[in-house]
Amino acid sequence: MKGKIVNIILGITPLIIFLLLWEFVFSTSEKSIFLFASPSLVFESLIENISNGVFFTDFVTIGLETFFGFLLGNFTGIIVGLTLWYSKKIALLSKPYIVAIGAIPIFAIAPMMIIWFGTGLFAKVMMAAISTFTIAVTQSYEGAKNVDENQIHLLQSFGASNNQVFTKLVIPSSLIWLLNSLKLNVSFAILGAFIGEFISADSGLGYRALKAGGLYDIPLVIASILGIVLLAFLFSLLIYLFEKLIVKWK
Amino acid sequence: MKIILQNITKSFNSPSGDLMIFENLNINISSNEFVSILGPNGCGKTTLLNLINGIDKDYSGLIKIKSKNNKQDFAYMMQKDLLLPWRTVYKNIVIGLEIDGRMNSHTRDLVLEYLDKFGISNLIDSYPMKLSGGERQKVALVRTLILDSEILLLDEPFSSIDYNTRLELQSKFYHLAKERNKTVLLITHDIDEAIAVSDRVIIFNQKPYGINKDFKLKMDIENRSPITTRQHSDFAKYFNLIWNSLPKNNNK
Repeated sequence: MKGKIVNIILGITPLIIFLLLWEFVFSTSEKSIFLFASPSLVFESLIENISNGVFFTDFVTIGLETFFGFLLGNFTGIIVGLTLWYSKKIALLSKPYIVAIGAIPIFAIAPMMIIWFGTGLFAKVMMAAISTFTIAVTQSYEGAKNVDENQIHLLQSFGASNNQVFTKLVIPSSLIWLLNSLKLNVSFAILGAFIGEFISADSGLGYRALKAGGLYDIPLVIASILGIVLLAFLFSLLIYLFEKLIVKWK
Repeated sequence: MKIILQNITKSFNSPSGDLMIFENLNINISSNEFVSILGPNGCGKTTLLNLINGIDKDYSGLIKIKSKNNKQDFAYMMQKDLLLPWRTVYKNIVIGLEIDGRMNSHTRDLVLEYLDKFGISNLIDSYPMKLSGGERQKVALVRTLILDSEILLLDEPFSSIDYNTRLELQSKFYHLAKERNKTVLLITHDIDEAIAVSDRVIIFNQKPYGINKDFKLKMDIENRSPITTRQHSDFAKYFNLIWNSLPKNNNK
Protein backbone atom coordinates (compact mmCIF):
# COMPACT_ATOMS: atom_id res chain seq x y z
CA MET A 1 0.00 0.00 0.00
CA LYS A 2 2.79 2.38 1.03
CA GLY A 3 4.71 1.46 -2.14
CA LYS A 4 1.63 2.21 -4.25
CA ILE A 5 1.22 5.67 -2.72
CA VAL A 6 4.92 6.38 -3.31
CA ASN A 7 4.55 5.26 -6.95
CA ILE A 8 1.52 7.52 -7.46
CA ILE A 9 3.40 10.48 -5.95
CA LEU A 10 6.43 9.72 -8.14
CA GLY A 11 4.15 9.42 -11.17
CA ILE A 12 2.40 12.78 -10.79
CA THR A 13 5.41 14.77 -9.56
CA PRO A 14 6.76 15.55 -13.07
CA LEU A 15 3.27 16.69 -14.13
CA ILE A 16 2.93 19.01 -11.12
CA ILE A 17 6.42 20.45 -11.72
CA PHE A 18 5.55 20.97 -15.40
CA LEU A 19 2.28 22.73 -14.55
CA LEU A 20 3.95 24.94 -11.92
CA LEU A 21 6.75 25.94 -14.32
CA TRP A 22 4.21 26.59 -17.05
CA GLU A 23 2.01 28.73 -14.79
CA PHE A 24 4.64 30.69 -12.88
CA VAL A 25 7.72 30.75 -15.11
CA PHE A 26 6.69 30.57 -18.77
CA SER A 27 3.34 32.37 -18.60
CA THR A 28 4.36 35.57 -16.92
CA SER A 29 4.11 38.04 -19.83
CA GLU A 30 1.14 38.83 -22.04
CA LYS A 31 3.02 37.59 -25.08
CA SER A 32 3.83 34.22 -23.55
CA ILE A 33 0.26 33.87 -22.28
CA PHE A 34 -0.95 34.59 -25.82
CA LEU A 35 1.41 32.01 -27.28
CA PHE A 36 1.32 29.25 -24.66
CA ALA A 37 -1.72 30.09 -22.48
CA SER A 38 -1.42 28.88 -18.90
CA PRO A 39 -2.82 25.98 -16.87
CA SER A 40 -5.28 28.26 -15.10
CA LEU A 41 -6.59 29.65 -18.41
CA VAL A 42 -6.89 26.15 -19.88
CA PHE A 43 -8.77 25.12 -16.73
CA GLU A 44 -11.11 28.11 -17.05
CA SER A 45 -11.74 27.28 -20.71
CA LEU A 46 -12.45 23.67 -19.79
CA ILE A 47 -14.95 24.65 -17.09
CA GLU A 48 -16.68 27.11 -19.40
CA ASN A 49 -17.02 24.60 -22.26
CA ILE A 50 -18.08 21.79 -19.97
CA SER A 51 -20.74 23.91 -18.29
CA ASN A 52 -22.24 25.13 -21.58
CA GLY A 53 -22.29 21.55 -22.95
CA VAL A 54 -20.00 22.24 -25.95
CA PHE A 55 -17.18 20.12 -24.67
CA PHE A 56 -19.52 17.19 -23.96
CA THR A 57 -20.99 17.30 -27.49
CA ASP A 58 -17.52 17.52 -29.03
CA PHE A 59 -16.23 14.69 -26.86
CA VAL A 60 -19.16 12.41 -27.70
CA THR A 61 -18.86 13.23 -31.42
CA ILE A 62 -15.19 12.34 -31.72
CA GLY A 63 -15.73 9.44 -29.30
CA LEU A 64 -18.38 7.91 -31.59
CA GLU A 65 -16.33 8.51 -34.74
CA THR A 66 -13.32 6.90 -33.15
CA PHE A 67 -15.27 4.03 -31.62
CA PHE A 68 -17.07 2.95 -34.79
CA GLY A 69 -14.01 3.55 -36.96
CA PHE A 70 -11.89 1.59 -34.53
CA LEU A 71 -14.37 -1.31 -34.57
CA LEU A 72 -14.76 -1.31 -38.34
CA GLY A 73 -11.04 -0.98 -39.12
CA ASN A 74 -9.95 -3.58 -36.62
CA PHE A 75 -12.74 -6.01 -37.43
CA THR A 76 -12.10 -6.01 -41.17
CA GLY A 77 -8.32 -5.87 -40.72
CA ILE A 78 -8.31 -8.78 -38.28
CA ILE A 79 -10.54 -10.89 -40.53
CA VAL A 80 -8.33 -10.19 -43.56
CA GLY A 81 -5.10 -10.79 -41.59
CA LEU A 82 -6.25 -14.03 -40.00
CA THR A 83 -7.73 -15.50 -43.16
CA LEU A 84 -4.43 -14.90 -44.98
CA TRP A 85 -3.25 -17.86 -42.87
CA TYR A 86 -5.12 -20.15 -45.25
CA SER A 87 -2.85 -19.34 -48.16
CA LYS A 88 0.81 -18.33 -47.94
CA LYS A 89 0.71 -17.50 -51.64
CA ILE A 90 -2.16 -15.04 -51.30
CA ALA A 91 -0.46 -13.58 -48.22
CA LEU A 92 2.70 -13.02 -50.24
CA LEU A 93 0.85 -11.53 -53.21
CA SER A 94 -1.22 -9.21 -51.04
CA LYS A 95 1.74 -7.90 -49.04
CA PRO A 96 2.60 -4.99 -51.39
CA TYR A 97 -1.04 -3.90 -51.43
CA ILE A 98 -1.21 -3.90 -47.65
CA VAL A 99 2.05 -1.96 -47.45
CA ALA A 100 0.69 0.51 -50.02
CA ILE A 101 -2.53 1.07 -48.06
CA GLY A 102 -0.47 1.57 -44.91
CA ALA A 103 1.79 4.08 -46.63
CA ILE A 104 -1.03 6.39 -47.80
CA PRO A 105 -1.03 9.54 -45.66
CA ILE A 106 -4.52 9.73 -44.19
CA PHE A 107 -4.53 13.49 -44.74
CA ALA A 108 -4.17 12.92 -48.50
CA ILE A 109 -7.31 10.83 -48.80
CA ALA A 110 -9.42 12.92 -46.43
CA PRO A 111 -10.88 15.15 -49.20
CA MET A 112 -11.93 12.05 -51.16
CA MET A 113 -13.59 10.65 -48.06
CA ILE A 114 -15.67 13.80 -47.81
CA ILE A 115 -16.66 13.49 -51.48
CA TRP A 116 -17.49 9.78 -51.17
CA PHE A 117 -19.10 9.68 -47.76
CA GLY A 118 -20.29 13.24 -47.17
CA THR A 119 -19.49 15.58 -44.33
CA GLY A 120 -21.28 13.66 -41.60
CA LEU A 121 -20.18 11.13 -39.02
CA PHE A 122 -19.68 8.30 -41.51
CA ALA A 123 -16.79 10.00 -43.34
CA LYS A 124 -14.87 10.35 -40.05
CA VAL A 125 -15.69 6.77 -39.13
CA MET A 126 -14.18 5.68 -42.43
CA MET A 127 -11.10 7.85 -41.81
CA ALA A 128 -10.61 6.20 -38.43
CA ALA A 129 -11.24 2.75 -39.94
CA ILE A 130 -8.68 3.21 -42.73
CA SER A 131 -6.16 4.50 -40.20
CA THR A 132 -6.42 1.28 -38.20
CA PHE A 133 -6.86 -1.26 -41.00
CA THR A 134 -3.21 -1.88 -41.96
CA ILE A 135 -1.98 -2.44 -38.43
CA ALA A 136 -4.88 -4.79 -37.76
CA VAL A 137 -4.05 -6.80 -40.92
CA THR A 138 -0.30 -7.04 -40.28
CA GLN A 139 -0.59 -7.80 -36.56
CA SER A 140 -3.23 -10.47 -36.99
CA TYR A 141 -1.38 -12.07 -39.90
CA GLU A 142 1.83 -12.13 -37.86
CA GLY A 143 -0.10 -13.80 -35.03
CA ALA A 144 -1.59 -16.39 -37.37
CA LYS A 145 1.76 -17.02 -39.07
CA ASN A 146 3.53 -17.61 -35.78
CA VAL A 147 1.28 -20.43 -34.59
CA ASP A 148 3.42 -23.34 -33.40
CA GLU A 149 3.76 -25.86 -36.26
CA ASN A 150 3.82 -28.71 -33.74
CA GLN A 151 0.44 -27.64 -32.38
CA ILE A 152 -0.93 -27.63 -35.92
CA HIS A 153 0.47 -31.15 -36.42
CA LEU A 154 -1.07 -32.25 -33.14
CA LEU A 155 -4.53 -31.08 -34.19
CA GLN A 156 -4.06 -32.62 -37.62
CA SER A 157 -3.17 -35.90 -35.94
CA PHE A 158 -6.62 -35.71 -34.27
CA GLY A 159 -8.09 -35.41 -37.76
CA ALA A 160 -8.71 -31.64 -37.65
CA SER A 161 -9.72 -29.94 -40.88
CA ASN A 162 -8.16 -26.63 -41.90
CA ASN A 163 -11.22 -24.80 -40.56
CA GLN A 164 -10.95 -26.61 -37.23
CA VAL A 165 -7.25 -25.74 -36.97
CA PHE A 166 -8.21 -22.14 -37.75
CA THR A 167 -10.97 -21.84 -35.15
CA LYS A 168 -9.48 -23.97 -32.38
CA LEU A 169 -5.84 -22.94 -32.74
CA VAL A 170 -5.05 -20.04 -35.06
CA ILE A 171 -7.61 -17.56 -33.71
CA PRO A 172 -7.00 -18.13 -29.97
CA SER A 173 -3.27 -18.41 -30.51
CA SER A 174 -3.23 -15.02 -32.26
CA LEU A 175 -5.19 -13.34 -29.50
CA ILE A 176 -2.19 -11.62 -27.93
CA TRP A 177 -1.27 -10.18 -31.34
CA LEU A 178 -4.84 -9.03 -31.89
CA LEU A 179 -4.89 -7.29 -28.54
CA ASN A 180 -1.60 -5.59 -29.40
CA SER A 181 -3.20 -4.42 -32.62
CA LEU A 182 -6.11 -2.92 -30.65
CA LYS A 183 -3.71 -1.16 -28.28
CA LEU A 184 -1.64 0.29 -31.11
CA ASN A 185 -4.72 1.34 -33.04
CA VAL A 186 -6.28 3.51 -30.32
CA SER A 187 -4.14 6.49 -31.26
CA PHE A 188 -4.47 5.81 -35.01
CA ALA A 189 -8.28 5.71 -34.80
CA ILE A 190 -8.34 8.98 -32.85
CA LEU A 191 -5.94 10.54 -35.36
CA GLY A 192 -8.13 9.45 -38.28
CA ALA A 193 -11.27 10.93 -36.73
CA PHE A 194 -9.37 14.07 -35.69
CA ILE A 195 -8.09 14.67 -39.23
CA GLY A 196 -11.58 14.01 -40.60
CA GLU A 197 -12.89 16.78 -38.38
CA PHE A 198 -10.11 19.08 -39.55
CA ILE A 199 -11.32 18.70 -43.13
CA SER A 200 -15.03 19.11 -42.58
CA ALA A 201 -17.15 19.06 -39.44
CA ASP A 202 -19.46 21.11 -37.26
CA SER A 203 -18.63 19.45 -33.94
CA GLY A 204 -15.97 17.27 -32.37
CA LEU A 205 -12.74 18.02 -30.58
CA GLY A 206 -10.76 18.16 -33.83
CA TYR A 207 -13.16 20.71 -35.24
CA ARG A 208 -13.08 22.63 -31.94
CA ALA A 209 -9.26 22.71 -31.87
CA LEU A 210 -9.11 23.90 -35.49
CA LYS A 211 -11.74 26.60 -34.90
CA ALA A 212 -10.10 27.74 -31.65
CA GLY A 213 -6.70 27.88 -33.39
CA GLY A 214 -8.17 30.12 -36.07
CA LEU A 215 -9.37 32.48 -33.32
CA TYR A 216 -6.02 32.31 -31.45
CA ASP A 217 -7.88 30.78 -28.52
CA ILE A 218 -4.91 28.72 -27.32
CA PRO A 219 -6.53 27.68 -23.98
CA LEU A 220 -9.38 26.05 -25.93
CA VAL A 221 -6.94 24.37 -28.34
CA ILE A 222 -5.13 22.86 -25.36
CA ALA A 223 -8.43 21.97 -23.65
CA SER A 224 -9.43 20.11 -26.84
CA ILE A 225 -6.11 18.27 -26.83
CA LEU A 226 -6.72 17.31 -23.20
CA GLY A 227 -10.09 15.92 -24.26
CA ILE A 228 -8.31 13.80 -26.91
CA VAL A 229 -5.89 12.54 -24.28
CA LEU A 230 -8.82 11.64 -22.03
CA LEU A 231 -10.43 9.77 -24.94
CA ALA A 232 -7.22 7.81 -25.53
CA PHE A 233 -7.10 6.91 -21.82
CA LEU A 234 -10.71 5.73 -21.91
CA PHE A 235 -10.10 3.56 -24.97
CA SER A 236 -6.97 2.10 -23.42
CA LEU A 237 -8.92 1.34 -20.25
CA LEU A 238 -11.66 -0.38 -22.27
CA ILE A 239 -9.06 -2.53 -24.05
CA TYR A 240 -7.39 -3.35 -20.74
CA LEU A 241 -10.76 -4.49 -19.31
CA PHE A 242 -11.51 -6.44 -22.49
CA GLU A 243 -8.12 -8.17 -22.21
CA LYS A 244 -8.80 -9.05 -18.56
CA LEU A 245 -12.16 -10.47 -19.59
CA ILE A 246 -10.95 -12.74 -22.36
CA VAL A 247 -7.38 -13.61 -21.36
CA LYS A 248 -8.23 -15.62 -18.27
CA TRP A 249 -5.37 -18.08 -18.39
CA LYS A 250 -2.57 -15.68 -17.38
CA MET B 1 -4.45 -53.52 -35.17
CA LYS B 2 -1.36 -54.04 -37.26
CA ILE B 3 1.02 -51.52 -38.77
CA ILE B 4 2.78 -52.56 -41.96
CA LEU B 5 5.41 -50.45 -43.69
CA GLN B 6 6.55 -51.78 -47.04
CA ASN B 7 9.48 -50.41 -49.05
CA ILE B 8 9.23 -46.95 -47.61
CA THR B 9 11.55 -44.47 -49.28
CA LYS B 10 11.67 -40.95 -47.98
CA SER B 11 14.02 -38.06 -48.65
CA PHE B 12 14.19 -34.37 -47.79
CA ASN B 13 15.45 -31.53 -49.95
CA SER B 14 18.57 -29.94 -48.53
CA PRO B 15 20.97 -27.29 -49.90
CA SER B 16 23.42 -30.07 -50.78
CA GLY B 17 20.78 -32.06 -52.69
CA ASP B 18 18.31 -34.73 -51.68
CA LEU B 19 18.91 -36.15 -48.22
CA MET B 20 17.79 -39.77 -48.16
CA ILE B 21 16.19 -40.73 -44.85
CA PHE B 22 14.77 -44.18 -45.62
CA GLU B 23 15.38 -46.45 -48.55
CA ASN B 24 13.10 -49.46 -48.82
CA LEU B 25 12.32 -49.55 -45.12
CA ASN B 26 10.17 -52.47 -44.00
CA ILE B 27 8.62 -52.77 -40.56
CA ASN B 28 5.74 -54.91 -39.34
CA ILE B 29 4.20 -54.21 -35.97
CA SER B 30 1.71 -56.73 -34.66
CA SER B 31 -1.50 -56.02 -32.81
CA ASN B 32 -1.06 -55.18 -29.13
CA GLU B 33 2.70 -55.05 -29.53
CA PHE B 34 4.71 -52.43 -27.64
CA VAL B 35 7.61 -51.42 -29.87
CA SER B 36 10.34 -48.91 -29.10
CA ILE B 37 12.59 -47.31 -31.66
CA LEU B 38 16.06 -46.22 -30.62
CA GLY B 39 18.66 -44.47 -32.72
CA PRO B 40 20.93 -41.47 -33.08
CA ASN B 41 19.64 -37.95 -33.65
CA GLY B 42 18.47 -37.28 -37.18
CA CYS B 43 18.05 -40.93 -38.13
CA GLY B 44 14.39 -40.44 -39.02
CA LYS B 45 12.59 -41.64 -35.89
CA THR B 46 10.17 -38.71 -35.77
CA THR B 47 9.85 -38.75 -39.56
CA LEU B 48 8.67 -42.34 -39.28
CA LEU B 49 5.85 -41.33 -36.91
CA ASN B 50 4.88 -38.43 -39.18
CA LEU B 51 4.62 -40.85 -42.10
CA ILE B 52 2.49 -43.29 -40.15
CA ASN B 53 0.09 -40.69 -38.79
CA GLY B 54 -0.26 -39.01 -42.17
CA ILE B 55 1.23 -35.60 -41.31
CA ASP B 56 3.92 -36.24 -43.91
CA LYS B 57 2.54 -37.74 -47.11
CA ASP B 58 5.60 -37.18 -49.28
CA TYR B 59 7.08 -40.69 -49.53
CA SER B 60 7.00 -43.75 -51.72
CA GLY B 61 6.09 -47.23 -50.56
CA LEU B 62 3.10 -48.54 -48.70
CA ILE B 63 1.87 -47.91 -45.17
CA LYS B 64 -0.98 -50.17 -44.15
CA ILE B 65 -2.88 -49.92 -40.89
CA LYS B 66 -4.87 -53.12 -40.63
CA SER B 67 -7.79 -53.04 -38.27
CA LYS B 68 -11.15 -54.72 -37.85
CA ASN B 69 -13.08 -51.62 -38.89
CA ASN B 70 -10.47 -50.71 -41.53
CA LYS B 71 -10.13 -47.27 -39.94
CA GLN B 72 -6.80 -45.56 -39.37
CA ASP B 73 -7.21 -45.15 -35.66
CA PHE B 74 -4.22 -43.68 -33.89
CA ALA B 75 -3.30 -41.08 -31.31
CA TYR B 76 -0.06 -39.13 -31.42
CA MET B 77 1.91 -37.66 -28.53
CA MET B 78 5.00 -35.53 -28.97
CA GLN B 79 7.93 -34.72 -26.74
CA LYS B 80 6.53 -31.28 -25.92
CA ASP B 81 3.20 -31.39 -24.13
CA LEU B 82 1.77 -28.78 -26.56
CA LEU B 83 -1.01 -27.85 -24.16
CA LEU B 84 -2.99 -24.85 -25.37
CA PRO B 85 -2.60 -22.13 -22.72
CA TRP B 86 -6.08 -20.68 -23.24
CA ARG B 87 -7.79 -24.00 -22.54
CA THR B 88 -8.26 -25.54 -19.12
CA VAL B 89 -6.93 -29.03 -18.42
CA TYR B 90 -10.38 -30.42 -19.24
CA LYS B 91 -10.67 -28.49 -22.50
CA ASN B 92 -7.13 -29.49 -23.50
CA ILE B 93 -7.86 -33.14 -22.89
CA VAL B 94 -11.07 -33.21 -24.89
CA ILE B 95 -9.79 -31.30 -27.92
CA GLY B 96 -9.32 -34.52 -29.92
CA LEU B 97 -12.84 -35.66 -29.01
CA GLU B 98 -14.23 -32.24 -29.98
CA ILE B 99 -12.55 -32.41 -33.37
CA ASP B 100 -13.83 -35.94 -33.88
CA GLY B 101 -17.37 -34.97 -32.77
CA ARG B 102 -17.31 -37.44 -29.89
CA MET B 103 -18.23 -35.14 -26.99
CA ASN B 104 -21.19 -36.25 -24.89
CA SER B 105 -22.68 -35.86 -21.43
CA HIS B 106 -20.31 -38.47 -19.96
CA THR B 107 -17.11 -36.89 -21.29
CA ARG B 108 -16.32 -34.95 -18.11
CA ASP B 109 -16.73 -38.09 -15.98
CA LEU B 110 -14.44 -39.96 -18.33
CA VAL B 111 -11.81 -37.20 -18.11
CA LEU B 112 -12.07 -37.25 -14.31
CA GLU B 113 -11.62 -41.02 -14.30
CA TYR B 114 -8.42 -40.74 -16.35
CA LEU B 115 -7.09 -37.81 -14.34
CA ASP B 116 -7.78 -39.78 -11.17
CA LYS B 117 -5.59 -42.61 -12.44
CA PHE B 118 -2.75 -40.10 -12.74
CA GLY B 119 -3.58 -38.45 -9.39
CA ILE B 120 -4.41 -35.01 -10.79
CA SER B 121 -8.21 -34.94 -10.90
CA ASN B 122 -8.12 -31.80 -8.72
CA LEU B 123 -6.52 -29.91 -11.63
CA ILE B 124 -9.36 -30.46 -14.11
CA ASP B 125 -10.33 -26.79 -14.28
CA SER B 126 -6.82 -25.35 -13.98
CA TYR B 127 -5.01 -23.61 -16.79
CA PRO B 128 -1.73 -25.16 -18.02
CA MET B 129 0.29 -22.20 -16.70
CA LYS B 130 -0.44 -23.35 -13.14
CA LEU B 131 0.89 -26.88 -13.73
CA SER B 132 4.34 -28.34 -13.12
CA GLY B 133 6.25 -30.03 -15.96
CA GLY B 134 5.22 -33.50 -14.75
CA GLU B 135 1.57 -32.50 -14.41
CA ARG B 136 1.57 -31.03 -17.90
CA GLN B 137 2.98 -34.25 -19.30
CA LYS B 138 0.31 -36.27 -17.45
CA VAL B 139 -2.39 -34.09 -19.01
CA ALA B 140 -0.85 -34.58 -22.46
CA LEU B 141 -0.80 -38.34 -21.86
CA VAL B 142 -4.46 -38.35 -20.81
CA ARG B 143 -5.27 -36.27 -23.93
CA THR B 144 -3.70 -39.08 -25.98
CA LEU B 145 -5.27 -41.96 -24.07
CA ILE B 146 -8.80 -40.57 -23.93
CA LEU B 147 -9.14 -40.93 -27.70
CA ASP B 148 -9.12 -44.67 -27.05
CA SER B 149 -7.25 -45.22 -30.28
CA GLU B 150 -5.97 -48.67 -31.03
CA ILE B 151 -2.55 -47.37 -32.02
CA LEU B 152 -0.51 -44.98 -29.88
CA LEU B 153 2.39 -43.17 -31.50
CA LEU B 154 4.64 -41.61 -28.88
CA ASP B 155 7.60 -39.37 -29.66
CA GLU B 156 9.82 -39.20 -26.55
CA PRO B 157 6.90 -38.36 -24.28
CA PHE B 158 8.80 -38.88 -21.03
CA SER B 159 12.13 -37.28 -21.91
CA SER B 160 11.58 -33.85 -20.41
CA ILE B 161 10.45 -34.86 -16.93
CA ASP B 162 12.33 -35.82 -13.78
CA TYR B 163 13.27 -39.44 -13.18
CA ASN B 164 10.71 -40.28 -10.47
CA THR B 165 7.81 -38.79 -12.41
CA ARG B 166 9.08 -40.56 -15.51
CA LEU B 167 8.98 -43.96 -13.75
CA GLU B 168 5.50 -43.21 -12.42
CA LEU B 169 4.22 -42.18 -15.84
CA GLN B 170 5.87 -45.10 -17.60
CA SER B 171 4.24 -47.55 -15.16
CA LYS B 172 0.78 -46.03 -15.41
CA PHE B 173 0.97 -45.73 -19.15
CA TYR B 174 2.32 -49.27 -19.56
CA HIS B 175 -0.52 -50.79 -17.53
CA LEU B 176 -3.19 -48.78 -19.33
CA ALA B 177 -1.77 -49.72 -22.73
CA LYS B 178 -1.61 -53.40 -21.85
CA GLU B 179 -5.03 -53.52 -20.14
CA ARG B 180 -6.64 -51.91 -23.18
CA ASN B 181 -4.73 -53.92 -25.79
CA LYS B 182 -3.06 -50.98 -27.46
CA THR B 183 -0.46 -51.21 -30.18
CA VAL B 184 2.28 -48.78 -29.19
CA LEU B 185 5.16 -47.31 -31.15
CA LEU B 186 7.48 -45.37 -28.84
CA ILE B 187 10.38 -43.22 -30.01
CA THR B 188 12.99 -42.84 -27.31
CA HIS B 189 16.64 -42.07 -26.65
CA ASP B 190 16.58 -43.92 -23.37
CA ILE B 191 17.71 -47.58 -23.50
CA ASP B 192 16.38 -48.21 -19.95
CA GLU B 193 12.97 -46.93 -20.94
CA ALA B 194 12.90 -48.95 -24.15
CA ILE B 195 13.68 -52.22 -22.30
CA ALA B 196 11.39 -51.40 -19.36
CA VAL B 197 8.22 -50.99 -21.41
CA SER B 198 8.70 -52.77 -24.72
CA ASP B 199 8.03 -56.18 -26.22
CA ARG B 200 10.40 -55.29 -29.01
CA VAL B 201 13.17 -52.76 -29.59
CA ILE B 202 14.17 -51.62 -33.08
CA ILE B 203 17.48 -49.83 -33.46
CA PHE B 204 17.91 -47.40 -36.33
CA ASN B 205 21.20 -46.85 -38.11
CA GLN B 206 23.02 -43.66 -38.68
CA LYS B 207 23.69 -43.18 -42.42
CA PRO B 208 22.66 -45.24 -44.33
CA TYR B 209 19.40 -44.96 -42.36
CA GLY B 210 17.20 -47.94 -41.70
CA ILE B 211 16.99 -50.81 -39.28
CA ASN B 212 20.23 -51.87 -37.67
CA LYS B 213 18.88 -54.44 -35.18
CA ASP B 214 15.47 -55.70 -34.13
CA PHE B 215 15.26 -57.32 -30.68
CA LYS B 216 12.31 -59.23 -29.29
CA LEU B 217 12.54 -58.92 -25.54
CA LYS B 218 11.70 -62.20 -23.84
CA MET B 219 11.61 -61.81 -20.10
CA ASP B 220 9.70 -64.21 -17.98
CA ILE B 221 8.21 -61.79 -15.46
CA GLU B 222 4.97 -62.28 -13.59
CA ASN B 223 2.93 -59.04 -13.45
CA ARG B 224 5.42 -57.24 -15.64
CA SER B 225 5.81 -53.51 -15.11
CA PRO B 226 8.55 -51.00 -15.98
CA ILE B 227 9.80 -51.34 -12.38
CA THR B 228 9.86 -55.16 -12.20
CA THR B 229 11.51 -55.28 -15.64
CA ARG B 230 14.28 -53.03 -14.41
CA GLN B 231 14.76 -55.38 -11.44
CA HIS B 232 14.95 -58.49 -13.63
CA SER B 233 18.30 -60.22 -14.19
CA ASP B 234 17.86 -60.10 -18.01
CA PHE B 235 17.60 -56.31 -17.96
CA ALA B 236 21.40 -55.87 -17.93
CA LYS B 237 21.77 -58.47 -20.70
CA TYR B 238 19.41 -56.56 -23.00
CA PHE B 239 20.97 -53.28 -22.02
CA ASN B 240 24.38 -54.54 -23.16
CA LEU B 241 22.97 -55.99 -26.37
CA ILE B 242 21.24 -52.74 -27.29
CA TRP B 243 24.12 -50.54 -26.15
CA ASN B 244 26.53 -52.51 -28.32
CA SER B 245 24.17 -52.29 -31.31
CA LEU B 246 23.72 -48.54 -31.21
CA PRO B 247 25.72 -46.71 -33.91
CA LYS B 248 29.31 -46.07 -32.83
CA ASN B 249 29.27 -42.30 -32.41
CA ASN B 250 26.68 -42.86 -29.68
CA ASN B 251 28.91 -45.35 -27.86
CA LYS B 252 31.61 -42.88 -26.84
